[in-house]
Amino acid sequence: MAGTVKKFVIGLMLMVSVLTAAGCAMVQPWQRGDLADPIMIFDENPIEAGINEHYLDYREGSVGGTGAQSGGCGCG
Amino acid sequence: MVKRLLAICCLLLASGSVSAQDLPDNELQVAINSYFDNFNVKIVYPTISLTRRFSDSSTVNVRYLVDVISAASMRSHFNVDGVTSATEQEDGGGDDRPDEVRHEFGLGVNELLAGGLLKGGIFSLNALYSREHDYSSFTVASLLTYLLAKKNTTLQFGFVRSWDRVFPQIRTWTRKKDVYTYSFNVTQTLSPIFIMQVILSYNDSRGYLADPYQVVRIIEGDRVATYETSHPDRRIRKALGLRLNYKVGARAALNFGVRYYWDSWDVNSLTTHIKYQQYLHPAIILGLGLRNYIQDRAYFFKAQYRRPELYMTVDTKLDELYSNNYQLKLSIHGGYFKNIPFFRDEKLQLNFILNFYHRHSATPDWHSRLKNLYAYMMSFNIRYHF
Repeated sequence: MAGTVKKFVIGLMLMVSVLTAAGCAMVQPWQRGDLADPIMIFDENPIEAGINEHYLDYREGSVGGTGAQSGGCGCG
Repeated sequence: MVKRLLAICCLLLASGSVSAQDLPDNELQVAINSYFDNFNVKIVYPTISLTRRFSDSSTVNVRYLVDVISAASMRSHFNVDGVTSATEQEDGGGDDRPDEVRHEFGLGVNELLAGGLLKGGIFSLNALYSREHDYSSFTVASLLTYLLAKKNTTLQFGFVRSWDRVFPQIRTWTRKKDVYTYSFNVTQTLSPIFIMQVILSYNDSRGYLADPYQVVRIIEGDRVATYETSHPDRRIRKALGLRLNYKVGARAALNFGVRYYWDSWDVNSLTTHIKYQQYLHPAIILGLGLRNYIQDRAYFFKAQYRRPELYMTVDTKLDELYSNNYQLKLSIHGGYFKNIPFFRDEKLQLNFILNFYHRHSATPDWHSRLKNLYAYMMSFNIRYHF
């Protein structure tokens, strides 16, 4: 998965980010009703996200890049 | 050109304005989490967290959790042939009562920054102390958040520093582990129903990075010798994540995420996840999630070592593997069911989360000798906003 795949995945992610951000419009405060809905919030419950991340950290070799924070034990 | 960029940056920073509503709400959260797998690992994990607003500009959070772990691999006591660190101590993770209990205490503050150079931001500082019979960890985590462009753009700069100590009771030594994590997140509103987040993280771990309870078995003539595992004492880990959240109609949202991870031990991984959340009722949300993960093995991982080497491991986390996680989540908000006493209170929220996890590794696990791990993770939490 190294080398070429890495460049491809990172490039694709950056391209999607730039393209989607380039098309964004300024959303006014009165238009933010849907964005405030709990189902639209990333990591709406940080404790729940951290616990989930904690279980995965112990069983897989990767950390970071998810927004959630785990740790504090000898499982990393 | 540089001056123009600086001017734009200054303008963006000046346009940032946060208010008390951007701080966490008063909340009491109690959760019972559990984990069971076919490797005979059982974990019960209760947590309690209280967040309280002390003024319009500051909140304080205190948290306590306990991990109660039972693991067959920790119940095994291995005398190590190759290194002179094995002991015959009777207590701790290598004895017959491995039920490990970890206590974690957390204290955090969030502060709206009203003046100075960082005016317009939110600063969060958290301290965590965790202790178990063979491991201790002290962590300080800081996060600076800026809301820009009428809150359409959020920038977050994070730094986490951990001081860990490893003192396994089947060994005579104590080793240190120091971890530095830097992160940078950008959350961008793309439209009234579409939001995106890019996450960059850089993690530098130094010190003892192996698992003291694992051993490498090597056939030497007519006997099998056991050796301590040995990992490099430094690991640089980098990850780039992208998450998208899209509102589908008035009652549903679709969340998609992809993460690429790479590190100095040649572990590369790709994670993708998709989650669909739907209101079944104004007070009931159903969530369905699917996560796929695939990784390469570390450069020093081998299915079998023929002779002692500088770096040796049997840790499945460093093997070539893939995993899938299936999640079901049900959230019930109070206030809508006036006839049911417990659900009458609109400040109450109940969440039930069930995860089914499958991991397949290229090499059988060093202890269970299984390639497939099947696990159930269940959480039940009550959130009370006051």
